Order: sequence, then structure tokens, then C-alpha cells
Amino acid sequence: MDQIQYVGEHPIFGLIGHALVIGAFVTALLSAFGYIWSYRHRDDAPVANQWKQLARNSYFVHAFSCLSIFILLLFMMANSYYEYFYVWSHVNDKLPMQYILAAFWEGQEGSFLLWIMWHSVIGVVMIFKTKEWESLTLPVLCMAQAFLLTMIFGIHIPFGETVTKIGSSPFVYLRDVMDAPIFAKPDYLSVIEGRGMNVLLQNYWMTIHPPTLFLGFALSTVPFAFIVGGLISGRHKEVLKAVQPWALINGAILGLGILLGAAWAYEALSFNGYWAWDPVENMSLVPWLILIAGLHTNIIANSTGRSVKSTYWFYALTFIMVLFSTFLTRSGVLGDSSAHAFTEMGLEWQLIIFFMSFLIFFVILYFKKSGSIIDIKQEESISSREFWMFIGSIVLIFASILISFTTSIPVYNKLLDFWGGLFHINLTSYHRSAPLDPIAHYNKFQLWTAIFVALLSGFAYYLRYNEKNFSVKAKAFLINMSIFLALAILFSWIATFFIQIPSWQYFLFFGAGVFTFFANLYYLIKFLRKKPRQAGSVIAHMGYGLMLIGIIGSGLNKRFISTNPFTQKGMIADEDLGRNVLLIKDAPMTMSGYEVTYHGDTIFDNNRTFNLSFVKLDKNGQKTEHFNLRPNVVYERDFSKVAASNPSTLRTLTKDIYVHIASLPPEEINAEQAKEKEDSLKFENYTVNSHDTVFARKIFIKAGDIHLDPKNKNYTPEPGDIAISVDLEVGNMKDDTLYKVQPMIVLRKELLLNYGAQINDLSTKIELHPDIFKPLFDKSNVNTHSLTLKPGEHFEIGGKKMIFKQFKMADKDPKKIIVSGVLTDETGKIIGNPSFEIIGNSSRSDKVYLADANALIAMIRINPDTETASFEYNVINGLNKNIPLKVAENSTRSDYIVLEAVEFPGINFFWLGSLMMMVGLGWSILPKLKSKVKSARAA
Amino acid sequence: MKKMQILLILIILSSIGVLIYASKDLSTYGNFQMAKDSGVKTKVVGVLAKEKPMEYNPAKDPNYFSFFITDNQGEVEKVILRAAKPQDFERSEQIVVTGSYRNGHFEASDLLMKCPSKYKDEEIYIKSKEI
Repeated sequence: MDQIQYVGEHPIFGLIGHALVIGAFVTALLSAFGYIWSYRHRDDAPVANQWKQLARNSYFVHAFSCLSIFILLLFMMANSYYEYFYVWSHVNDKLPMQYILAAFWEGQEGSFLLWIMWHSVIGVVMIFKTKEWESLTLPVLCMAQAFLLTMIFGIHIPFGETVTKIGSSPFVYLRDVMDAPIFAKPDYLSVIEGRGMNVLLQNYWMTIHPPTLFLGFALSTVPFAFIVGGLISGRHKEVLKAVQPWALINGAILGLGILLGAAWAYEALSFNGYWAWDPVENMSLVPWLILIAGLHTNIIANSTGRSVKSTYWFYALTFIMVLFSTFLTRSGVLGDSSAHAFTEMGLEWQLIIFFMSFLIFFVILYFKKSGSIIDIKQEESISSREFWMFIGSIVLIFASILISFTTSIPVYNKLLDFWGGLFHINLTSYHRSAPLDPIAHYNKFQLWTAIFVALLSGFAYYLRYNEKNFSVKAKAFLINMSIFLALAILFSWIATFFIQIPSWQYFLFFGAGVFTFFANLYYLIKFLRKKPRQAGSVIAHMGYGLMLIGIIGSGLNKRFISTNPFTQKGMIADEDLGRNVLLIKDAPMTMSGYEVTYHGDTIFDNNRTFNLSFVKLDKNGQKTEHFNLRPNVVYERDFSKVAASNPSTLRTLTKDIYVHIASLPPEEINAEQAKEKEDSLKFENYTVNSHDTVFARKIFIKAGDIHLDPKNKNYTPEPGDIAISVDLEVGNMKDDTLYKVQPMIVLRKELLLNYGAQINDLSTKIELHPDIFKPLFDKSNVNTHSLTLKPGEHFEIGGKKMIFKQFKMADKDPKKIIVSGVLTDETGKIIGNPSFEIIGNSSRSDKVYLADANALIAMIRINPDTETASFEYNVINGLNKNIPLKVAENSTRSDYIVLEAVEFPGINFFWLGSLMMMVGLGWSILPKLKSKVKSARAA
Repeated sequence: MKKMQILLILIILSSIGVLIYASKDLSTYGNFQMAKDSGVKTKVVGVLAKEKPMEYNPAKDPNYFSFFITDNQGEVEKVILRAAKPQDFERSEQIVVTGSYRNGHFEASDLLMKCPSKYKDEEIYIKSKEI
């Protein structure tokens, strides 16, 4: 087959991209090699320096290549080069430019690139900041980079019948991935459009959360690199000093990344909360917990020389768990158990090799080199600070093991299948699945780890490192602790007046939070007032205490306030009591003390925003609270269906009220269902005489006047339109309620516009039948006649006798005056009410069709002095007094929303507390910076 | 023996204990027959029986959604979820319902559905001609 010469492609970009990936890979290896050789020749300074220079130069080329790949792909996406599969998959013509970065890391390849990009930047910082550790730490970073780069290689190696795939490249052609007849056209690019980004992810969270989280992931390579350097060089004491600031930054950024994810879930996604123990969430939390454990043992090591080995293990595990979590979330293993895992990509084995390589490397290195770590023979005292800090770290590790244990269930199943496969046994019956109630499962255990950690981080401050003689401090210590304990009990007791604390375990949890908050606050005031630079850890621990308080408030006291008061309790189990409530437009609904009204909606672009008002009334009916909330739904850009439902939240100091649209009438969710509904309507034809009544199946229809110049808010008149509307009163046989509607039909040249009337309470839709226009096309009389009449006067049109009975003022309207003339036949039956409107200086008359006389009549003037009215009429061979109608009695209402509303008390404690933890971690770097400045001056 | 060593052994033992205790929470994927026989909360994996009726009429009850699921044994059963109908429900490839039998139907307390990635039917979007 001849090669097709495609028009409009940009092949040079793909070529450069591929070349840069290979280049970055090679220079990473070269740099690692250079650094290792430089270290090997450390006793021969000139040679070592030469190698180091080579390594550095290679690294700079490497970092430059990585940044170039990033910018190149971004450029290709910004310019919509759809010939590339990755660009086509994540961008389309409708994507707003502000989401181009979000689209960039929407896919696996892009997010690997994000990681690579951060690594390469961190490496440059390390070259300038790590000083004597450069040659020992950079090789690890370079190797991690090399592994990550293989993830975007995109090499396919035929291996017998199967093809082994190494990585997935963002630079492959669309036409190489997909097979479609359109690729036979050389100019296919001019007609195709990108598949584009998921609308659900088109928001600013997607722009800020992944880069923060990935920076946290990338930073976890640094402590790992340092401890590898420490083990190789045997300079344990020095390495643990050097690594600490990096670990602190790592903790702050990774934590912030996780929190942004939580905030996204809470703020923009309808997940009903900020934390759901979802596997993907768990696997980002676990590395952070281990890192924090490592940070504490690191501090012990720096202060006392103990816990060196634990620190090594914890930092190593942090990095390895980051890799393991990458494997879990990106291999598709979690598919069954998580709401937001990536889909399969065929790279499972590569990911396994990735994390296993580093794990095995570390284990071997550790057992070869850890002999040089000096253990302090003398035991730590049970009343020393380091003893309890170590216990705290162990509790954190314990928490991580428990979380990982349950989260890894899908991995056990895969392992079983793997072994079963080797021996040809089907082991699927041994498969396990996640707990039936995951949130309860995790809470049950983590509750205790949280309590322990809170208590420890409260009292450990009042102990000293290397305590030899506790007895002199014991009294003061006990007094302090008793005060904090008393405060904890007091505040927990006060809290019970505001929120529910469902069990003694949670009471303990809350109390532990209060305890650690006050213990740290007092420590801050008493000991650190003059040394604010050292306040980092105290701030973090105070934050932790506040976070626990916030969790009890917002997590346990989270309350669905959208419960229907009419649902009978007892009929269904409490847990099933509806969380959603139906809100009919303009019909106020009382729920949990609020009167909620849905006022309508507005559409802007593909966003549909709903207007809700919440009013709280006290016993006397006085408004005590009033606010509006505006949740919205986002439609696909072609309005084919709803793509996302975004909540709206009222934020107050003490609580949040969160609402989101849980459902809409089916026909408003997607276009298909709208058509289905239209098709399902069973219209039946009826005819009714003006001022007469007709009975349909379940309803009756009373016809009033026929108008030839009607008004309808959805109708914009155009000259030449013939518009007819009929006043109808509709009721059913069961009750007395009459519904006034005005169906309308318009003939615009050859186009029929039908404005049917929907009566929701009767599930009925009424349209005027197009036959109503037929008589108009007979020859009509166009002569206009005038009449001036007093109320009570008789007159005659077309041989029919009628009476102008009286004037009638319409209901008061501040903007206009409407007067109508009541016309009856000889028996007194009303046959028409032509109206006259005065709006400011202008007036307008409404033409009414008098069916009996086949005439159109309008009241054109009113003379108040003589109490007369002037009428104009013309007889037409026109409208019949028979009005043809189309009635569907199965037309369900569509003027409602299904709302879910949740109250989160005390959620601000959670945000404030968790944010303080991250700020505290960052703050802790300050004293390190100061000591560096000092030592620099001394030198 | 050192205090720290005793402590570590205690911690290891208690972790094993807690893990065994925690593993009792792990459930298995079952089917409708198992749910019927046991009468307790079960997790059933299946697919939506598309030929059977699906009912969600928010105007009547916004917290009542019923549909039919074919489990992995081929058994078709009516499932009631007392919540709003999840978005894109029809497009789900696989559904995991957690719940138990009550009055002749499966009462789901939780539902997790696996949806195909964004656009499963990989098709090339052709630009509309009009500009």
C-alpha cells in the first residue's frame, strides 16, 4: 500500500518529543553514573571533580530536556494538534484555555510528565543546596527519573505472540492508535475534532491539586536519596541533620496536596464530605503518615542519637509507598473498589518492577551497610521525651499498616489469581472485597490511633530528652497535665450542648483533641513566646487538636437536612430515610427548620444555576436566618446530557450548609429522555365551544375567550404572525381547584409554533390543534365597523343580538390599568371580554373573537365623562366557535428539582486545624535556615 | 530484655491481633442466592438487566429507585435503592450493590458502579460543517 501523504500534520513535534524523552533518559543515566564515579574517586580530588562536572552537565541537559518535553506537549495541546493521540484525547475546540494545564495532566502520560518535571526542578535545587551530599543523593534522583521516563517511552517489543509494551508515549499519532476510515483521507485533520477533556474535571481544583500532590510525591524522593547517601557513606549523624529540612518541606507540600484533594471533594464534587476512605485517598495519606513518623524519629536522632535505623526505614518506606500507591492507582487494580482510580493502561508489570526495584535495592543496601550505625547501649528512660515520641511514630506506622492492609485487598486477589494461574487452580472463590461499610471500618481503628497521637503530642512536650532525673520535674508535670485534662473534660462537656458525641470513644477522641490543643497552646505561651521561630511543631500539633475537634463536628454530626417531613418514620429503616427532597418550583418546603423555596433557574453557557432560598423562622414566625444558595449543573457542551452537578455551600463560622442537585426531571437530564417523553405523550383530540365545557378522560376543560393577539412570555411576536390563544379553565372531577391556562399557537409563514400549556398538578398538557387556523383561510370580510356603547346597552353584530353589560376593572396592577368590557348574549351568558390597557401614555386593545357572531371585536377607547366605550369590530368568515384541542393526560410535571442538603457543623475547625499542621511543618524549617546563616557567617 | 524490645514485641503481637480482627470486616462478593440464604448484608456484583423496567419517578418519591440486576450466576433480581438515581446509570458496565433481602426484593444500602472511561465507543468526532 502506498503511504498516504497527510496534509496539515506537524510531524516534527513528535520527532522532537521522542528524541527528548530518549535524551532525558540517557542523560539521567549518564548523570547518575558520573556522580557515582565522582564519589568512587573521592580521594582523588581532580578526577572526582571531573566526573562531578560531567554529571552536573549531564543533569542540566537532562533537566532542560524534561522541561522541554513538558513545554512541547503543552504547546501541542494549546494549538490543538489533533494528529497526536494524547492531544486529541484531552483537548477539543471548546476547551477554555484556562483549563489547558488541567487537560495536560488529566491523562496518565501527562501526570507522569508532571512528576518528571518536578523531579528535574528539585534536582537543580539539590545541586545547589546539598553541598557535600550532591554526589551521593543525585544518583538516586536520576534513577527515579530514568524509571519514570520509561513510563512514557511507548516502545512495543514483539515477544513471541504477545507484544510487551514499555511505557505509553504522549507523542504517538492518533491514526496509529485508532483505526477509522477517515484516515484514508489525506486531509483528515481539517475535519476532525478532539475528544476533549472530561467536563467534570474542568475546574480550578484540577489545575492546582495534581501539581501540589505530585510535588509532594516528587519531594519524597529527596529524603530517600539522602538516606541512601547516608548508608553508603556511613555518615549517619550528618545525613540525618541534612535531610530534616527536606523532609519538613516534603511533609508540608504532600499534606497540602492531600488537603486540596479533600477540599475539592468537599467543595466541588458531590461526594458529601471531604474524606471517604476511598483507596485513592488512603494511598496518598499512607506515605504522608510514614513521612511524619520518620520526621519524629529524625528529630529524636538529631537530639539524642537514637532511632537512626527507624528513621532510615521510615523515609525509605515513604518513598516506596509513594511508588506502591502509584502502582495501585494507575494499574487499574482498584477499578472495583474506588470511585476515582485511573483505568488500565497495560503497564502493571512495569509499575511493579518500578517499586520492587527500589524496595529490593534499599533492603540489600540496608543490610550491607547498616552495621556502621551505632546503637546507644543505654536504654532510654520511660520518662524521656524521645521514648514517647518514638511510641507516637510507631502508632503512626501502625495506622499506615492498617490502612494499607484494607486498601490492598484488590492486590491480594490479583496475587491469588497469579499463583492460581501458575498451578492452574481457580482461586477466585477466595477473593475478598472491601468492607461492607468502609467508613465505619476505617474509623473504628483509626479513632484509636488518633487518640494516642493526640495524647502523646500533648504531654511529650513537657518531658525532656535524655531524662535522667524525672522526679524533680514530676510534680510540675502532673499539675500541668491535670489542668489540661480538666480543660479537655470541661470543653468536651460544653461541646455536648452544641453537637452530638455519639459514644464514649468519640468523647475521648474529642477530649484528646482539646487536650493536645491546650497543652501545645500553653507550651507556646510559656516557653516559646520569645522564640517564635521554633513554634512550628507546636503550631502543627495545635492544628492537629483542632482538626480532631472539627472531625467530630463535621464528620459525625454531618446531618442530612433535606429530609421530607412527610415520610413516615418506621415504614423504612432510619438509615434509609430519604436524603433527598423534591422541591417544586415556587412551592416552599419545610425541612429541618428551614423553609426552602426553589425560585427558578438561569442558563449561562452550558451552566444551569438554580436559585434556592433558605429561611429560618422562630416560634413567632420571625425570620432569624435568610440566605440563598445557587447549586448548578453543567451540561455537555452540546447539551446532550448533564455532565456534572456542582454543589453550593453557605459558609459560616460555626457550620456549613451544603446543597447539590441530586436529580432533575428525566427529560432535563438528557436529550434522549426529553425526546422519549415527547414521544410518549398520548394526545387525544377534543373540540370545545367558546364559553362551553368539554370532558376528557379525567379532566374537564372550560373554554373562555379566543384571542387573536395574545401574549406569552416565551413568544416574541413578529409582523405577519397569526397567533391564537384561548383562555381555558381546567379542573378534575375530584376537587374544586380550577387551573387557568392559555395555550397558544402561532402561524409564522409556513411554520407552526405551538405553546402548549402544562398543568403539573393534573399531569396534563393541552395544545391548540393546528386545525384552528383552517377557517381563517376562507374568504374573510375586512370591513371595520365602529360602535359606541354605554353599559347595559344592546347591540347587534351579524344578526346576533348582544349586550354590553358592564365595565370590569382587572386586579390592581401598579404599572398599568386594565379595563375590560363584559359582553353577553341575550340570556346574559358572557361571550367576550375585550380589554383595554393603559400603560403610561399609551394604550392597547385586545382583539377578542366573538364566536357567535364570527367577529373580532376590540374596545378602542373609554370615555370616562360619558361613561361610554368605543368598540371596533369586523365580521370574518373566520374562526369557528369550535376550538380543536389536543390533550395529553399523561404529561408529568417538570418544574422540580431533587435536592440534597447537608449541614456540616464545625467544619472550619477541620480546615483551620489541618492547614495549621501544614503551616507548622513549613514553619519548622525556619530555625534550620537560621542556623545555616550562622554557620555560614562563622565560616 | 530491654523495655523497647518488650514494647516492640507487644506492638507486633497487637498489630497481628488487630489485623486478624480487621480482616473479619473484609467481605466477599456474593450473589443473590447467597443473600437470600443468609439473610444478612451482602455485596452482590452484577450488571444492569436492561430489558427489565427501571423506575425512578422523583415527582412521586425522590428517594426510590428500582431496577433489576443480573448477578454473576445469571439470576435476575429486583433491587431498590432509597436514593436518587445515579447519573449515567444506564451506561454502567458493572454494578456492585451492598444490601440484604427484604420482602422479596434486594434492598441496597450502597451502590458502586463501574462506568466505561469517558467515551468507550472510540469514535472520531467530525467537526460540524457549519462554522
